[in-house]
Amino acid sequence: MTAKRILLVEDEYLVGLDIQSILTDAGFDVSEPAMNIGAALDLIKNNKFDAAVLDVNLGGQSSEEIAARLTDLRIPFILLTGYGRENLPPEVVDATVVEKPFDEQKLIETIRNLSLA
Amino acid sequence: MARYLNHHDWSAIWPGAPVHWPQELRISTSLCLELSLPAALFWGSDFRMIFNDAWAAQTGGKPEENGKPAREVFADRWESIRPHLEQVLSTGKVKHLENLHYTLHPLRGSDDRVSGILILAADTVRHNGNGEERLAEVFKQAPSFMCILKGPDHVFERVNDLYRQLAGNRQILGKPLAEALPDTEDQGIKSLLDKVYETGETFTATDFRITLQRNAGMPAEERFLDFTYQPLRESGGTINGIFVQGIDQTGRKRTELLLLEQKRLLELIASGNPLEKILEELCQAVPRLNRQARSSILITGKKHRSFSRFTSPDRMTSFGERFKGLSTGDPASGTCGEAVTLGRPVSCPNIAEDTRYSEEWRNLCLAHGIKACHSKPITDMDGQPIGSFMLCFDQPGNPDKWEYRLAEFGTHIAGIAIEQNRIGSALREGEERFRTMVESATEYAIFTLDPEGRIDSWNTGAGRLLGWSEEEVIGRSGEIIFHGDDGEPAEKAKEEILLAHKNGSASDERPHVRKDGSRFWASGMMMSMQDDQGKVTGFVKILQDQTERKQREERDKYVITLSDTLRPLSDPAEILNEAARVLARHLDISRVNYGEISDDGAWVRVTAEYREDVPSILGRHQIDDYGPTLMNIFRDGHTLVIPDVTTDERLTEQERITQTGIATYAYVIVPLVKKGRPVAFFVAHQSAPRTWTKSEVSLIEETAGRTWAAVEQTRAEEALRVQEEQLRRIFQNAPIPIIIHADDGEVLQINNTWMDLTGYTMEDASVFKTWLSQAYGIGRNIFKDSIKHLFTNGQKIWSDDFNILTRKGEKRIWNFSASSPGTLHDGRRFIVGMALDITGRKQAEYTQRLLLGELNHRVKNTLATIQSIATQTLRQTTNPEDFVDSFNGRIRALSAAHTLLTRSGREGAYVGETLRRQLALRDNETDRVDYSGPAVFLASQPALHLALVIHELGTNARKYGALASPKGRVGVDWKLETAQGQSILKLTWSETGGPEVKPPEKTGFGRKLIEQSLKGVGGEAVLMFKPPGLQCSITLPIKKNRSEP
Repeated sequence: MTAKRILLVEDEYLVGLDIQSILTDAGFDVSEPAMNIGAALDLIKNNKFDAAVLDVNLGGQSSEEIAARLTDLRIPFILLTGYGRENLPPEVVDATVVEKPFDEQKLIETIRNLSLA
Repeated sequence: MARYLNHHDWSAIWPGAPVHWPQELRISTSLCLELSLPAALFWGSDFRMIFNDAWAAQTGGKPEENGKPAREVFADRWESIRPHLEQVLSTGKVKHLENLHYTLHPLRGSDDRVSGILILAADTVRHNGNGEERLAEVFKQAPSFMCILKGPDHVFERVNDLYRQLAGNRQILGKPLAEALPDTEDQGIKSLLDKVYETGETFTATDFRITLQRNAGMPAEERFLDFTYQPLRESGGTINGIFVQGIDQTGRKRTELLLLEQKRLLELIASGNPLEKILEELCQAVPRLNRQARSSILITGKKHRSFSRFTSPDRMTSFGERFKGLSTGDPASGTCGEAVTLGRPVSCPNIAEDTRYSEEWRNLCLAHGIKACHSKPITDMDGQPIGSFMLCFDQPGNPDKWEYRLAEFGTHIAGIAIEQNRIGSALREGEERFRTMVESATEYAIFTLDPEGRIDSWNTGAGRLLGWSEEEVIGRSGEIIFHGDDGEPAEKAKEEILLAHKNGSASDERPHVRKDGSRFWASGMMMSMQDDQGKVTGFVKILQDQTERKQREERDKYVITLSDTLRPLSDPAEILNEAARVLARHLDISRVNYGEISDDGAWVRVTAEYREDVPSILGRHQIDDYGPTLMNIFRDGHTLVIPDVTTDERLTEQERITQTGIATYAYVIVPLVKKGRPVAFFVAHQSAPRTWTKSEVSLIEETAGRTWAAVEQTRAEEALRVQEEQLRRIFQNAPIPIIIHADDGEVLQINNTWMDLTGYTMEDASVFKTWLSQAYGIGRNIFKDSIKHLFTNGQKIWSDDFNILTRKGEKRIWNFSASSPGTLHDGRRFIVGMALDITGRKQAEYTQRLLLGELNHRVKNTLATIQSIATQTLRQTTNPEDFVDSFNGRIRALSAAHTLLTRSGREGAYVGETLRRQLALRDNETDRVDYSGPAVFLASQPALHLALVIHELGTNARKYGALASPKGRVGVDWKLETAQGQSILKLTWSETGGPEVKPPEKTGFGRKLIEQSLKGVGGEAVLMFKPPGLQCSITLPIKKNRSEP
């Protein structure tokens, strides 16, 4: 079985690096962290992903546009946010959320649950 | 036909009315018309014709043929009829026309010549009778009484029905007159008959008065007869009898007499004769009208329960007297009492045998020769019995028709007389009452003037009002009461008389004068008195004292003037001065002042004045100076009236001196009391002694009161105005927007703040709806509903937040509160709305919330970063010491960056300080780093990332690079470039003097961090491992940060 392709969108390089390490160790094929909306959309355009980990705030910009694109492509995603669910944009309020700072195991399980579904 | 006769104008046929026809014609005509047999009468040379109804029915004769000559009536057979008529005329004998069943009877006139022919048609039933029988029938039925007396003793040979009736149906046939009618003996009948018998001359009597016993056993009756005694002759011409024929004219005659008496009595009444005389005359008229009757009149008293007066002339006086004071219900009052009680006539045909009434009454009547009586009540206009008219008879018997008429006549006349008397006495009483009234009307002067204007009567009221006694004034001219103020009295008096003369009355209102010369105001009326012919017999003058009314009017006028003067004034001082002026002018006062009393009552301050030729007293005065009187007045609060300062005992010597010193010789002072304490006063000073009248004093008091009220009102208004002005200012300048709007949607007012904040003016928002749609947009309906709710439910306070748009389109948040509705003077309701502009607060709240969220985010992100740093650092290090160093270093770098960022609340940091803070960690390294670049402000995120990159570069330099050797140096240069409208920071990190640089074999965490971490903020870092020293080129886009200092 081939490893699931995971799109990682995280503007905080250190955090993105960390998540990439965790998910790669967990057996996922993880993209380089996309640190802004343009980079993320480029990745989506040129690759096929099974799931995505999406930071809500990308350098002050909301990642809802990326979420919308993912929804269109029926790519499941989890939102990674320090804001808490109550501060999510309305479009993604029902999405699966993992709050920062995160628990490694929980993050891995959530991704697994997503891609299994 | 008889009726026709009465209505036909017979004068064309026979001259004169039927009553003036020759006796024979009259009798014949009557006879003809009354007959039940067909009969016709031919009269005169041309045989003019009259016929009766039976004739007309039998022959077809027409009514209009009556009175026409027989030749015309019977034109077609005149020649056959004529010989018969002429034969009867010439022979004087009855002629039978057997074939025609007619009998022609010659009729003889007083000259014994045949002057007419009576034609009788044969009765269809008794047509076989001869002529004599027919004539006998005619005789019998004739409408006049007839008899034939034979011989010198006048033996009744034949009598007809009427004659028999006249004679009282006595058996008279075959009896001589004296025996047959003994009651005629003394009445001259026989001598008249004797004379006719002797002389052969026909005797004719008119209205012959005769008394006849018409009924057996009944009293004789008076009759009036018209009759003819006509001698009857044998064929030889010798007189052998007398034909008596006549008409009983009693009815007509009595009526005539009655009318005559009635006329006479009415004249007596009309000419104002006393009641007694009229009633006496009435009683005396009765025997003249009926010889057998006497009369008595009884009149009841006021309540009609007893008799109070009587009239019974001659021998009846003692009779009537007995009834005086007798109750109408008393049996002793007899028929009269009963008649009054029952209200209808009562007869007593035989007093001697009557038991209805008392014996006393019976005896009384009988004693006066009264055998029978008839009483009929006399009634007033309303039919109320007021007396009784009594007919008394000498003989027993019921009254006949004539006597009933007499009773009717008597009560009628008596009723009129009594009524007239009552009216007369009422008039006299009225006159008397009027006199009393005039005398007792002492409030009015009533007097009369003769046609020349001289006083001829003078009542008590006139004496009182004008001061003249009756004795003094009678005969003097009426002009003495006219005052000279408005014209010469004589002229005025004349004028008034002329006017009254011309119009019947003249009224006026003018000053009059009393005997003592004093003037008073009175309204008067003069009326002319006229006699029946319209001639003026004098004048009545009625005068009423109007002084009080006049004074009241003048006072009212003054008060109106005062009010009119004061009303437009708003300055208290002006009001006081004007009031003083108006009062002084009106009452001719030398000086009028207004002053106020100090709280401690020691001082007065005179503030208003009007004066004429006297010194001013304006200013402050010590009350003590004016003496105890003034102080007492002020304490009591009563008006003080001083007519003469120099003599008034209430004043002290000191007071006299002080007051005369300011030219005050008389005064009236009115204290004005407020809350039980005199606070001011109004004073009228006169420069000479003056008798202040009651009305003057009350006028001064009135003026004081009104002026005070006006001043108080003005002050209150001023206070109100000031208060209003303050409120208005508060409203206008209150730092919160205020709107006042009415329930009909009109915006009454908006304040300055409202306008400033919204940018709208009163004109923009004159109607609430406009304001709503402008300011609230789509939210207006919610607001409108709330306001509506407020108006309808009268909720106390309502408050809510609303977004409004200013005129410029700016969005503001208002916390709008409204009071419960009030009511305007015009009945509309209004609401005062106020708003708190909470836009700033709301924004702050929003910012706060954002900041909190951001802080939360940053903390969490930071933690996530730390978490990552920890994980990554752990992955790269092999022993715990290294990990602690690396990790602590990185955490410190992060902390330092945060410190810098959060310091002084800036949302970022300058490039230079970020570099220095990251690299100045150790003292000995400071000099080995060169910084060069402009001041560039970085937002927090780029600054944070740059700080971490620099930290990694610094750590690497210290461990392996330029700073690891003592001579190595680091240069950091940066500059700001602009590309495609964006500022870009270009920073170059160059190491020199360190150990030779080799590219690393593997990419560690530090290198990844340097090379990758800036991508998140749009930047990049490129590492160049050059042998002389490491170089790093960093590019970072700079966003204009709002909070850059």
